[in-house]
Amino acid sequence: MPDPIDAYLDAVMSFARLAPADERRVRGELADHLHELVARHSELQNEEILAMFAKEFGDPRDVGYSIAKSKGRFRTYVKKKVRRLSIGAVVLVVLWFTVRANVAEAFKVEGNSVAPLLNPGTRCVVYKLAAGYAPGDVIVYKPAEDRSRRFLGIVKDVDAATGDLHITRNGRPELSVSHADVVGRVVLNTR
Amino acid sequence: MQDKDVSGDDRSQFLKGVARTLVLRLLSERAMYGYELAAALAQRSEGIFALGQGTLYPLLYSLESKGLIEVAREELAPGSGRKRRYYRVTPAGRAELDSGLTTLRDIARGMRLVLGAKYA
Repeated sequence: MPDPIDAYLDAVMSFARLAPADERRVRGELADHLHELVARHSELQNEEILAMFAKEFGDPRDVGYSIAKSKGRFRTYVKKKVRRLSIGAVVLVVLWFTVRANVAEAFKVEGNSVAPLLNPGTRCVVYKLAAGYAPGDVIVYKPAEDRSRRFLGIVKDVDAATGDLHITRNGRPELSVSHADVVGRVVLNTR
Repeated sequence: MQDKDVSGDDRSQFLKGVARTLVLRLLSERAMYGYELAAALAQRSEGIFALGQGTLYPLLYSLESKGLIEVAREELAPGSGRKRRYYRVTPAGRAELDSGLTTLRDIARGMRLVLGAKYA
């Protein structure tokens, strides 16, 4: 015959259906109480112990249900967790896109435009909040011919009046990039 | 959902309502663990509050979730690896105890006045 304390607690827990952490805690606490009861009734046999529990401690079903009411069931706990997690996920996605659009974005270099500074296959992070640019900075910009693409260039000179940049690509001489077309400065790369 | 009344009879319902205040009172004297509290309740009330000891725990958990009591410490039960949780009253629990005691005093006084000395 299994330990009457375990048998009784199994019955209580089957009615209570608590969250795992609550179940461990409640089980431990009730087990301590039941051990005390057994110690006070050392003359009883196993079957009699279960009957004594039902009488002194309560019907497992009643105890289970009322503990569930006071603690909250596992299902409620899961529901809450899911709700919290999905809110968290939405916040993360929003945050992710906000950061990508306004602060920093990762790119993979595809061409040789700024080789050997950055070679094809290199990944880099572009910082979009740069206050200003200086000669030597590697930048990413939207070319006037196709604004959905992103080109790399190395800053040669900055027009102090307009903020426009003179850059070079592929070692070719200077190309003017309007201040508004600059996406940002390459701050990190995997080269 | 299953929302069955624990025992259904008026007496146990009434005792449970009162037990809340008594438990707060006992725990305000000193921190106690479950069995100790059940034993104190039964012994000091000469058995009147020897309610099913299992009903004590739902009461403790709901008092705890309302912030009226808290776990003061955990100790290992002597001679075993079992953990014992000692509960104590929080400041909010003390305020709740005061209002509970006032209610009980009013009820007792009201009943004595209506029923006369014979039942009081």
